[in-house]
Amino acid sequence: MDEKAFSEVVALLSGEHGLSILKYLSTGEWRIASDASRALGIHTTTASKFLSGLHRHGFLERRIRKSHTRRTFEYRLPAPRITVGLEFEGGHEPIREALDFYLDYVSNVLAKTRRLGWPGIETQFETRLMRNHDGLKEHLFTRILDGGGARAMDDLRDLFGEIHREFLGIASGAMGHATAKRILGGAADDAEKGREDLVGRYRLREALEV
Amino acid sequence: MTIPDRVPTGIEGFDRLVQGGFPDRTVNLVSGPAGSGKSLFALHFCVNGAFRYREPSMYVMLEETKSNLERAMKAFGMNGGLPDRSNRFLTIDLGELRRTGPHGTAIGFEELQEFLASALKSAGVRRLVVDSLSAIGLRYPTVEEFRERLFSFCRFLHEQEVTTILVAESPDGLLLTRHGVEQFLSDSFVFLGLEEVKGDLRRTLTVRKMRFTKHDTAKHPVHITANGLTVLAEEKVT
Repeated sequence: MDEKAFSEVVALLSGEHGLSILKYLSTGEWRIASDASRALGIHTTTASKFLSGLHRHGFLERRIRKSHTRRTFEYRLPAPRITVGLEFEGGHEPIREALDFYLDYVSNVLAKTRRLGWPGIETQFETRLMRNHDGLKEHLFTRILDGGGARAMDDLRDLFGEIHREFLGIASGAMGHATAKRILGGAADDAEKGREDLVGRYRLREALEV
Repeated sequence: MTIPDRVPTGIEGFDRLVQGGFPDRTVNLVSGPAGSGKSLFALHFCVNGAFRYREPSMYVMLEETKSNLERAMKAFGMNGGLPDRSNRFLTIDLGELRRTGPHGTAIGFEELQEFLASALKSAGVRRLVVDSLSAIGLRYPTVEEFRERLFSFCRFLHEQEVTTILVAESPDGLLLTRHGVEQFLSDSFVFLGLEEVKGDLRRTLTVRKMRFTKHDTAKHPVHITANGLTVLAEEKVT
């Protein structure tokens, strides 16, 4: 993340109840702010501010809990571990170039499966590409419109990581895991050619590893 | 005479030599020098299987390209030159994997078996062609290792619901197969020859081995015409 986001996260985590709220969420269950408030004996506004802040920085998942009278956000920590990374990039991230790498990867996967000759797989891949991946696509494009930054790069990696896992699942089911890995790995190798520095510096291949 | 549990190739003249076709769920070797018609023989087996006998068939290429295979199908009027909309005939270009593997390494029996273990079931394949063993052989430094791996691969194929043709190259006029062991591990061995007679090349076919079958053992002339490969079952090459 960039310096601004990093400072915000550090401020949130170093607040009086930061770690205790995180620990409370570490079971992976969905909780609303008032659950945390009751369990930890803190004000609901404090809990709510902390939860929405960590969600904004991508550490917590959020969904809407509907009742007859109102809609409330509930949150959870996807894994009992968080990592905070800081990248000094002066705010500019080559999102467009990174996106080109991932789009080339997708296009290579489609071309390779077409040449391999397995009927139907290409269509299944294309169907998966149309999905929003739990809001990731929308989230990513909002970030890019907001000016990108390190979080946009993270979102890009997350989105294509999801797409890669879906491709791998489809291909493995039809032609076995090793063959599928070989095809997808070859597609990534081809996409990386000529942009090795970018891919290495921004760890773009990590999203395409299994 | 035709007997039950046979898998006919649909190749004119050939099935008569072998009581109606290959025995069901066996592994069969078709070998010969370059230009003898091995791939065409195997292509007939698959295409006729898919369109005439309505059995899902898979042709796995390791050296040939898909476009070459399609050109051959068109040239010999197979399936009336029409594209397969039923997906009963699958042409799989595993050479694509060879190109994308680490440093362009050849595909081995392990990778092929792993692929087939999923692919045969998911596509319900009943007829399989692997073209060719010679491409796989590049992976193994010694004949012993090749034989060991081929043995395991044949065992795997015997456990599948599939009748297989393995295409193999014979590098010159002296050897029947490249490694000299392929014919011992398969259930049948069909050799396609190419002989020079008075400056002309003539194609021949001999069924050298076929388990569970009273087969013809003579050497027969083979013609490649506009309709593909034909074995002259009534004639012998002396």
